[in-house]
Amino acid sequence: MGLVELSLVNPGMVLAKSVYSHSGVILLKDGRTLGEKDLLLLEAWGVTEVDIQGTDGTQGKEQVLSEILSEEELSALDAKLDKKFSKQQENEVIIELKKVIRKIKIEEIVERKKQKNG
Amino acid sequence: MDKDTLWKKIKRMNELSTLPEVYTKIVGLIDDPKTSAATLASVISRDQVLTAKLLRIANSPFYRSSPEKITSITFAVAILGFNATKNLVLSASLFDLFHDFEEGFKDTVRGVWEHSIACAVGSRIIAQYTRYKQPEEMFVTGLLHDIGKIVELQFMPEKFREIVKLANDTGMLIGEAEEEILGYTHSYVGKLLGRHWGLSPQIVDSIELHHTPETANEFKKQVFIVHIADVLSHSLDLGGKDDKIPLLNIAAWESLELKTDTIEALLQEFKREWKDAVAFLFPTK
Repeated sequence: MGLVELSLVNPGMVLAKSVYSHSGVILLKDGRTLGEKDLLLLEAWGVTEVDIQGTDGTQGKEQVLSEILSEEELSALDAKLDKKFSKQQENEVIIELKKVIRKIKIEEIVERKKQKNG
Repeated sequence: MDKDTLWKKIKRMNELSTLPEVYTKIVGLIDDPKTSAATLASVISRDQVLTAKLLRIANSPFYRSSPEKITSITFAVAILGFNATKNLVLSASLFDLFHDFEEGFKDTVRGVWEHSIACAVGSRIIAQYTRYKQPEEMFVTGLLHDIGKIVELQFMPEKFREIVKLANDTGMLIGEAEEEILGYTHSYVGKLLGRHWGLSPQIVDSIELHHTPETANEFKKQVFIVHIADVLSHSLDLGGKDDKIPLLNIAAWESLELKTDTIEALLQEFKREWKDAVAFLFPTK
């Protein structure tokens, strides 16, 4: 199991852990096979990621991602990011910043593709 | 253009003159201890265009000067206080500066403008994260940090184009390319303009030192906030086409006591608010 961003979750995936609202109310119980309506509910509640069965942490995320983004697209993105950060010194803040920017850029690409595909 | 000529031109320029007029008058009032809130409000209210603009901005989704809807200038002055009103007038006056440019430079100006909005929004968010007492002052400081580029675009558009080209071709930062071509940078030009306008010293310092925060002296916190906001705006590609991020000064980051694990939340908020701000100011986009 592993955390998967909501934008990457598809109907048919199974929750590995229950999803709670901020106030601690269970929104969806573990073991539930997610349907379209469940995804809308999670989105409406501001849930950004859920634990999905059969995925494995960040690796799981890349696996799901790889269906959307090709190797070439990912390495083009990484090359761009390396250039972008070329003036920076290596430190904890820059490493984290680069990681977050990479995540946001991937989200943007996924978002654009989704819009394109209607 | 050498530094002397530049300074003379800045002092003589008319294009940017709307700002000092309104702003200087209001700052004069605010600095006078005899001025009451009612006097200040009545002076501003006499200028209907400014009033409309102030109310529009005060209630905009990104300026967020108050949780309540501000419906009159009297209310604005009462609820925001003198300083925040001053910053609001400054922000409102600035929004005009970026609109009148010749064809051919509109995209470049728009890029600088969008980046400035990003830095403004980012500075305000960082101010809140670091409990800086006047977030709206940081908003306007962020908005102004690259004003030197606007001056360069007005006085020497072709040179500015050369600078951008040199930076793109060689991998230099804009500031490095400016040093090469002009012998000074937009930070220096911005400082001159800020002084000419009579902006507060913390704003002038933040404009001048946003790329060299290690040289900040009296107004470290303000300079650091703008510096970090600038770096983060470039990281997120918010406005302008720039493929390199200026060097992050780690001492500035540490001094603000920003936590590494808040980067993601901060950037997401930053991006969202920037989008709102741009949509508000450029409704067609």
